[in-house]
Amino acid sequence: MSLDRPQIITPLIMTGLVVAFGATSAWLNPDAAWLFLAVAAGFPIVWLLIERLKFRGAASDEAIEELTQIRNAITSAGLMLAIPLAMTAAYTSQFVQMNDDFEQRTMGVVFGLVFAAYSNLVPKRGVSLKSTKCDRASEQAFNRFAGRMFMITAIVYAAVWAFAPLDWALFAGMAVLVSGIGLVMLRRILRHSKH
Amino acid sequence: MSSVFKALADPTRRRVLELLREEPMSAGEISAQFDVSKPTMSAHFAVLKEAGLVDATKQGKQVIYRIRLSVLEDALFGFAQAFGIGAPNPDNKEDTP
Repeated sequence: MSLDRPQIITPLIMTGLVVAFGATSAWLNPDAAWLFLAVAAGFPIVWLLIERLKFRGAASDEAIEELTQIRNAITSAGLMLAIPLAMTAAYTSQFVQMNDDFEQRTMGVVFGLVFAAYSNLVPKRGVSLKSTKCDRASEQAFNRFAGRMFMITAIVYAAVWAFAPLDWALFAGMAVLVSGIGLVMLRRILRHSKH
Repeated sequence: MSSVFKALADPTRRRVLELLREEPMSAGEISAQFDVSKPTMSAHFAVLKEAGLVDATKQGKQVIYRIRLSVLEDALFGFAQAFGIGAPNPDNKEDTP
């Protein structure tokens, strides 16, 4: 299957924006921005190339679904890169009055929301527990639990970054993440030990 | 998204999802729980599949249905169940999809 124009347009636009913002920030403050620019520009481009190579000639439904997932991943990764780049550009250009606190908070909230979007799809896509030899009903129940737990974790994480005092937002956010992921892992281990 | 609402609006399809929530089941096992004709049941399965709420895999001669609800779709399903949207009509045994 070859990629038609609409399928690659979003990542291309995203990459273009990342490069534009990165170049602006690098031009305004070369010492701080070059490394970030290189990573931000290189990451989606390399990913896009891999995507094109991987799906060249493929035409099955599974390949199309996988391609869609990768495109979504690139878009969200690009978003995660583009937002701090845009903020860096805005900050260094001094067009907008912005401080480090605001940038940190925004990144925390964005990460939480992206995590929530992925969590939403966990039960739908499912995680195979074939290695644990558990039955399909248990596997289904685990995926549902994992999706809900990740979703709650993500929403609480975003809320912490949005509303908590910045002094302890990092600590509280990490505690929320570790607790949520830890609970899912604990249940996974318990399932594993039962079967 | 409208296909999801359409799928969840029907009590028979919600009952199918409720059964599949417990464990994946074959088409025959699900159909045995309902007093409806096979074509009607197939149409219900088709609506659920089109909405992406279930997927079907062939295992030998059986078609195994498996639930595929995202967290938000699951919540929506819970609301539909709780508020009894499209409650079944006791006089009408054959639900049309």
